[in-house]
This record gives sequence, structure tokens and C-alpha cells, in this order.
Amino acid sequence: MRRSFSLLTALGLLPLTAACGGNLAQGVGAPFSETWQSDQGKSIAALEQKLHGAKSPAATPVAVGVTESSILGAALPDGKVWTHSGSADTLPIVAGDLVLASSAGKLFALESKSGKQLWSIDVEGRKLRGAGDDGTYTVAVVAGDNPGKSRFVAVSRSGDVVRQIDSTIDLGYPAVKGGVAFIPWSDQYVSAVDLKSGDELARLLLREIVSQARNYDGDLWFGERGLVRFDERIRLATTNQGTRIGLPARQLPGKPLWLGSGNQLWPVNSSARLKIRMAATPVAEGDSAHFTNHAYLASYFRVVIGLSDQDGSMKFVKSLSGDALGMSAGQHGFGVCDSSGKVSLLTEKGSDAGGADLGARLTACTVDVTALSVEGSQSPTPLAEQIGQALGELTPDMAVAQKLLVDELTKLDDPLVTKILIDLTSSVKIPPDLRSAARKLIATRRTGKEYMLAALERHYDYVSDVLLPPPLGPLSDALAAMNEVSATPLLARHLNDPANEMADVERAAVALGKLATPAEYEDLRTFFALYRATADEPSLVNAVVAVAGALLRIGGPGGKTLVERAAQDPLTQVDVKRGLNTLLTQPAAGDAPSAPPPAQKSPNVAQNGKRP
Amino acid sequence: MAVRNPSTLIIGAALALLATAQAAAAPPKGGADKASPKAGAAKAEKAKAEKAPPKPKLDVPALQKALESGDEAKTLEALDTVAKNGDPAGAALVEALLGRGASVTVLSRAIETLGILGQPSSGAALAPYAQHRTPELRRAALRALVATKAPNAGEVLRHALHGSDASQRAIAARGLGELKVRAAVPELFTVLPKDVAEAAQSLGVLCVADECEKLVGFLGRLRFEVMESAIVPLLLRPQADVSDDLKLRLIERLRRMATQPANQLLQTALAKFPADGSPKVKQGIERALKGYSVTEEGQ
Repeated sequence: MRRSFSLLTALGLLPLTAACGGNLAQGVGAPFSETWQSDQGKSIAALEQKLHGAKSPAATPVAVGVTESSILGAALPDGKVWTHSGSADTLPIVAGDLVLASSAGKLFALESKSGKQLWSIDVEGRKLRGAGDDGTYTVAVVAGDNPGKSRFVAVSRSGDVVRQIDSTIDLGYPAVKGGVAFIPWSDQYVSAVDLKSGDELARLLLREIVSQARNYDGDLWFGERGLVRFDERIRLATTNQGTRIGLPARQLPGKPLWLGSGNQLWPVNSSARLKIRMAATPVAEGDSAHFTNHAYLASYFRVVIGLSDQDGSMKFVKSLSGDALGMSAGQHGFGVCDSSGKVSLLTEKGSDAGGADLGARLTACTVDVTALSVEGSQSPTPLAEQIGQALGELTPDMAVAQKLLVDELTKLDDPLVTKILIDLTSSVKIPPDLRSAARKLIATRRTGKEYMLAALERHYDYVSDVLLPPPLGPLSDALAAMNEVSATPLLARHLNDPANEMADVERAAVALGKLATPAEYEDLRTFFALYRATADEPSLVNAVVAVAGALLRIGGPGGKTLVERAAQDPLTQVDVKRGLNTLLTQPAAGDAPSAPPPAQKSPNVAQNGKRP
Repeated sequence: MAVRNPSTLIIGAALALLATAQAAAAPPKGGADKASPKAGAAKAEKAKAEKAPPKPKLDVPALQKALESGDEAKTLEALDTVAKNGDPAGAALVEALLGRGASVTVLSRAIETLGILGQPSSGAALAPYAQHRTPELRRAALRALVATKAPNAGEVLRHALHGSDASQRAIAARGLGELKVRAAVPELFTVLPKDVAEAAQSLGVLCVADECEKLVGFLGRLRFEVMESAIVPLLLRPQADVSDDLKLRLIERLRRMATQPANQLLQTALAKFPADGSPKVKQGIERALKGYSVTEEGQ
């Protein structure tokens, strides 16, 4: 592969082009030299020592949205919305107190609090890829849509380009501190370039992919999947002993990326890439590092999930009014910007803590709250309830997110989970696959009895628009396994409701075979009369035989006579008759008509528990 | 074969329903009623029955044996005998058969038989079958319940209106009108715009005062074919139930529609207009048919 680099110009600023290596005896010469030999971290460690006292300003908390014709912004948590006429071609970037964006071959900077344009420079058709700011200089990498047209620029507050480097190698997302730019390249190195001299003062070699140099609340971090801190341990980074942080591996819908490759552009379009991402802010503590909030955010279109930075377990979930386009983790709490133009601030536990409305539908959005501590007075609702609410608000095309949420739901012991699962099976908005999964899970529940009974109170009702009956089969399985005798009148009523699926009725009959009391005798007798001779499918046959078993158990002599006569009647369906004769020949059948239901698990119920 | 206009069929059904309802609502025979045509017809019917040869008495023990035999052919034969005889004494035997259960063929015939016998006592035996999983059986049970005018029929029909079977809902909606179940009016209003066209017909018979205003409000929102089954009964009902003012406004709306079906509907109403009906309304229909405004006297 051809690799050529050219320091093309140091535009018009002679003082800045003068050599300036006096303080850095271990400087490594011209930027991006391919002949560079690893110095075991000496040069980067020396530079760290030199810049140790310097601190790049943290990013101003702000949300910046892009529409077809404008850029809208609002300082957070409560700034007024400003508008910049003219759109952006790639995702705007917050750097210090500026917002950087590119459009129509220009790179421009806006004041993040007011939207006032500070400068604009020609970048010859290139687009913004990454940027940083140290309070004096703003650095940016702009690039073409095709590889090999990277350009690094450093611009003063007044808009003068103090350094420009064109490169045929793709340059990554840069940062700057104390007048020194940090430019990742070749997925392996970070070159530290003195903006005044143009010299490469130091180079960091990492043993993992490095395409990002990021400033989080004044600290610099390098990497891509994981980040290594620019601190006193940076010398050891070459041997993987630096202060490193990464997100725990876990399956998430759409396989979101945290920072992604710093070598790519983030075009402002409806690409799913913008909507399936992760956000986390690293912070150092002693010799180690963790993420603020001990959590990170993951988005999947209209869902945002808060996850533990330790094990990836779910901490909260929020559904949005539009697709999530931008996210950021603050010192405390989070910020999320969605396509409806709404900017939501969340506490570290996921409670709403206000936000802003940019007032227009957005095609892209950047939000940066890395330096913000979001305060909120609302106490968070239980996670089960959050998941239930999110599931209820998701549209059917969000099946992948729905599945994840259901999976998370089943990890919780909260009885509310039972209610949420029942609601899922009763919603026409839920895709059939998910409804089926929820039904399976209901059968395994052993808590939330009150929700199960409440669900059984409901029947199909055309007049009241209750167009799905409750999940009778799974509820029957669960209640039978829980020996919940209080469910029997409700189950018995469902037995004779033709709106229930036959397979569900069978499971209700099996449950009643175990749980029914003499109070259900009439309902059972009616069912038996209606179907002993009309059962035309195996489920119905099984149901009739199960009900006959209940009649024998709770019906006394009358029940026994009823079943015996049916077993003799030539009109009784042949399979039913066979089942009845088996029941009647079983020892002790009907001997204890009023006995309470047996405590042991019914084998039939256990078997049925596996069905949807 | 002559093909009848569906509109005519709907109007015909609505009129039949109205006639049934009016008959049900008619005061007891005697006094001034003797002179009415309906009373005369009933008298003639009675006389005819008196002249017909007496039917043989049912052999109840033999029929009971046949119905309990478990032999499908014998059972069906026994049910035929009961149905043809028409003796109410047969109803209890058939009700017992339903209580025990039988094959679909037998149940179907048994339910039909109870409908023919028309005994209110059969309601309890028929009611569970209005919930049977076999659609034909539950529909037959609903029809039979309407025919028996059983005390529980209204409740069962209202329940059926909530069910998942569209045909069952249609039968229930129609039956609730036939049985004059006023308590069902709110439910009928709910299902009317939800594709239960039969609710219109029943509401045309059942509504009073503001309810009738509400019903007329559906004109233009629902298909005309649905609404026309409600309109004729509404126009023919006494002023005590439906005000002349509402009827005149309705006639005027129909006139302004200036369509063939609307015109035909007014003609039907005029043809069926009761002799003791409001002259004002009759005049309004006549004016509308001539193209004159019903409400503006001068035109």
C-alpha cells in the first residue's frame, strides 16, 4: 500500500512554522514518519509529563440538531434554542465551547451557547470527521467520501489556519491539549504534533486499534473499542499496561458501536448507523478508570437502554418519541437527542430530568453532556414497569428490541413482570412471535397471582374492543402449578367461552381437573354436556376427559353417574368414551369428592407448561 | 328466477320486525281493539285452528325412551315427531336431551325443535348452546331463543352481541329488536358503526326520544343500505315514541338526498303508513315525494 504524507503548508504564520523542539529532547521528527522506531513509550511519556498541568476545556453541555436547511442548538440543561441557517453534511461535533460542522466544502465553527458563527474555512469539498479544542486552537480532521483525502487543520479562535496537513493515509479523530494535536492514524499510532512547529513531538503505539483521540472532561483518551488514558501510565500503554477502559461485551440489538472507527465520516442521513450506538464517558479514579454513572447507554432506534459498565446488566430503559440520534453520558446522568427534536436529560437511574425541544424534526443530532451533572427529583419507576412501558410504546417494527426487553423482563423477580407479560399477549401491537414468547413465559411465572386473576376476569368483548382473550392456557398452567384454587371460578367460566383458543381451553380444563371445587360443578357439567359428543379435535377430547376427571373428583354421586352414563352412551365421541372408561377404571377416582386439590404437581400441567 | 332488490329485502325485514314488535306491544284483546284488522286476523287464525283436526297426543314415555336411546336415527325421528306435533309437552323432553348433550346433528335438530315449539321454558336449556364452539349450533340456539321469547333470551342475546362471531352478532342484534330489549340500546349503538348492520334495524324499532335523534345522526355516516332498515320503522312508529318533528326532519333529509333509494324508501313508508299514523308525517312524505320541502309550507 502506498503511503505518502505531505506537510503541505503552514499557512501564512511564520512564527508558528519555526522549529520548536527545544523542550522535547526526545521528539520524533516529521509527522507520520514510517521509519519511526518504537521508543517504548518514552516520547509520549515525556510529553505527558510536559502537558500534565495543562487541561483542555471540557465540552460545553449542548445539543445540536441538523435539519434539511439548518442547524439548531441549545445549551443544556436550559439554554434557549438557537438556529444557524444552513445545514451540515456530517454529524456536528462539540469541541470545548464550539460546535464544529461542515457543509458544501466549508468547515465552520459556531459558538455552542449562541450558535454565532466564529469562523469558516475552505476545506476543498471535504467533510468533518473529528475535532477537538484546547481553548486556544481548534483541531479537526476533514476527509473526502473516498479514502486518501484526509486533511488535518488547526484553527485559531479568529479563524486563522495555523496548521494544515494533507495526508493520503486516513487520519482519525483528533484531540488537542496545550497546543499539541493528537492525531490517530493507521489504526495503530497517535502522533503528537506541535501546532507551532509542525513537528511530531511524540508518538504513541498501541497494541489495539486506535482511531480516536477524545477529550472527556479535560482528559485525553486514545483507542476505539477501548480507550487508554493519556496519563502517567501512558508509557506502559505499548505493553497494554496503561490506564485502560472498555465496555463489557454483551449482545444488544443491532450490534451498536460505542465510538466506532475514527476513520469514517458520519453523514447526516437516515442511516441506521446513527440510531444504533452506545455512549459512555470514561473517568479516572486513582490508578484505575471506570465510566461515569457506572453505566453506559445503548440505543436501538426508539429505545435507549442504560446498562451497567460492570456486567452489562440493564439498569433502565426508555422509549423515545423518535429515533435516538445522539447520546452522551454526563458526570451524572445522560442526555439523549431524538429525531422528533426532543432532547431528554436522564438521571443516572434513568428518571426524566427535563431537557429541551429543538422544535423541529431532525436528520441528525449531537448531544454532549460529558461535563454535566444531571439532577432530577423524580424517583425512578421499577425496572419492570419501565420495560413494560417501553414495550407498550414500541411499534411492531421494533421486534428485536422487544425481544431483548422481554428477555430482560424474565430476569426480574418482580410480580409486575407477570402483568407486563399478560399485557403483551393482549396487545394487537405486539408481533405474533413476541406474543407467543410472552405466553410461554407466563406459563413459567410463579408470582403475580393478582395479575393472573385480573386477566382471567377479562373475556373477549367485541362491544368493548377487547379483541384478544387473555392468555388462558399459560395462565392455567401457572395457576395450576401454584395450586391457586381461587382461580377456579374464573377458569371454569372461560371453559365455556368459545372465543378462547381450543388449546387454551384444554389447558384450563387440565388445570380445573386439578383445582376445581364443588362450586364449579355447574360450569363443568355444562361443558361436559356440550362437548362429550361433539368433540371434533384432540384438544377438545382431552379437555372433555379432564373435565370428566374433575366431575368425578368434586361431583359426588351425581358427577359419577353423569360420567358413567356418558361412557355408555353410543352418541359420546369415541375418543372421549375411551378416556372416560380409563378414568372410571382408575382406582379411587371420585372417592373424595370434596377433597382439596392435591398438592403435588399434575404431570399433565407440567407437560403443558412447555407449550406456548 | 326473480331477483329481489337487496334494499327491498332489508326494508321488508325491517317491516316484519316492526310488525312483530307492534304485535308484541299491542294491548290485550277486547274493547276497542276488536274492530282492528290485527284482532280480526287473530280471530280468523283461531277459527282456522278450531276447524283443523286435533293432533294426536304425544306418547311421552315412548318419545323419552327414543330420545335417551343413544341411537341417532331413533332420536332424530322422535324429534321430528315432537316438532310436527307441536305439543308443548314435548319441549321438556327435548330440553332434557340438550341438558345431556348429543351429536351435532341431533343437537341441531333438537334446538330447531325447541324453536318450533316456542316455549319460554326452553330458555334455560338453549342458553348454553348460544356459547357452543360449533358456530351452527350457537346461531341456531340464538334463533330458537328469539322464537321462544324465553325470559333469559334478552340477556343471552346481549351477551352474544359481545362475542367473536359476526353472524352470531347479527342474529343477536336482530333478535334484540324483535324481542324489544330496550336495555340493549346502548350496546346496539356501540356495534352499529362496527359492521353490525342489523343493529340499525333494531334501533329503528327500539329507540326513543334522543336515541332516535342519535340514530338519525348516523345517516350519511353509515352506508345508506344499513340505515334504510332503520328509517322505515322509525317513520311508522307512533308519535309517543318518535316525535313528528324528528320524522319530518328525517323525511326532509331523504328528500334532499334526491336519490333513487331514498325516494324508494319514502314510497315504501307511504305504502305502509298506518291508518292511525300522524297526518302531518304522511303529508310530509307525500310532499317530499313530489319534490316539495317538508318543512317550508309555502313552497
